[in-house]
Amino acid sequence: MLDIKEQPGASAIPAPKFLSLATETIVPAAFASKSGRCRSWIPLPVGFSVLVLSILAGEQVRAWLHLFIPGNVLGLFILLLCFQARLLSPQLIEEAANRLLHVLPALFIPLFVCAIDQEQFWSKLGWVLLPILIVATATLWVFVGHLAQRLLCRSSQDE
Amino acid sequence: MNEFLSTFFWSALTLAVFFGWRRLFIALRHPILHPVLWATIAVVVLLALDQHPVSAYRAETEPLVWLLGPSVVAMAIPIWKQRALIVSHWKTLLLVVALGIMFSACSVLLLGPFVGWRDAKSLVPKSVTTAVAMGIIEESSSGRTADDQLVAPLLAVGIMISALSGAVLGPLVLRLTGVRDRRAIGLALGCASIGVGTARAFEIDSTAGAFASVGMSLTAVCAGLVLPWLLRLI
Repeated sequence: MLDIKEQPGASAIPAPKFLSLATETIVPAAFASKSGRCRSWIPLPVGFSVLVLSILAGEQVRAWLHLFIPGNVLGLFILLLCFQARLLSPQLIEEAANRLLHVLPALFIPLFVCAIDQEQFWSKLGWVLLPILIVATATLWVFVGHLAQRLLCRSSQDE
Repeated sequence: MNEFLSTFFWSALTLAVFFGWRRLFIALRHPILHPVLWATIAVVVLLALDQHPVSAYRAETEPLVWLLGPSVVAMAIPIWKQRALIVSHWKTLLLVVALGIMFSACSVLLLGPFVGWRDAKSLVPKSVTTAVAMGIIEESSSGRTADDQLVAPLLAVGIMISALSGAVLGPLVLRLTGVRDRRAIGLALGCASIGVGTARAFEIDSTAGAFASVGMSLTAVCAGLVLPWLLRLI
């Protein structure tokens, strides 16, 4: 199966605004209708089903190997292996993936609402821990950011 | 309101509030207006005004939380598109993630004398994907006495603070401290601020997003293997 970027006749057409948040989208000419609008002939539910099946496969691997790593993280690696082995085309899930990545930040809101509701925590030490944890997290960004920047630049120069 | 309507109402309201804030964020481009922060606060206020229990809200928005699973798998697409770049730097990525996990654990353990060792240890996996972090806490708590059990609600708050601060302040702090490489910005946000940080990296560009996805996934895998062992040791 051909990769998205390798497909003959591929042409770039402006992607919907939300797609540009996630990734550069190159849509094959066969996908474009006469009006120039993208009309995918691979329905969204198929892509979504593949994502769910990947999670189920990940959960199964997790159960077999008794790992802590959640099924969705394992599912991500399984899906990448399927792309590599050319068992699946990335095109199959691209539309569903882009839509999910568009709403991803919103999916955390219910979890954060529950965390804010931890009255016992906030009354005890929340207001002390809040600034300390922000500083600890900021230190981690700076550490990882600088380390990664230095090492990535060095390895790019070596190449 | 029956169960289905209630689920639909609160899930739709959560999304509507988020996308409303996102419009404002895109229009004004100020990091403090990040929609995840303000949409969370707006939902808390709405729940309080409606006197709707948070536990009921959590149950009613379960479909949204469930979508987090497929969303993590969906990150395969940007990772796949950046695979050449990622594969060529795999040693660097692994080293950065491993050192990031150790740095995060040490920085939290330094809080021990101030907040108590049990609370500090509970916060060690604060920069790891929620599902893995909770698994680490459960595993590390087994076999301990009741007084020595690690505190999952505390960890939930720690994860929220790491994630939200990543969305609001992460790119700004990185820019001010001289981190300009988009790959490094992505890795930092993915390693420290999990899914919310990764989503923020996607708003910067696809390269930052792909590196954030890799950082978050590798952190989950490495932390799942290393941290339970470390927490049992200390």
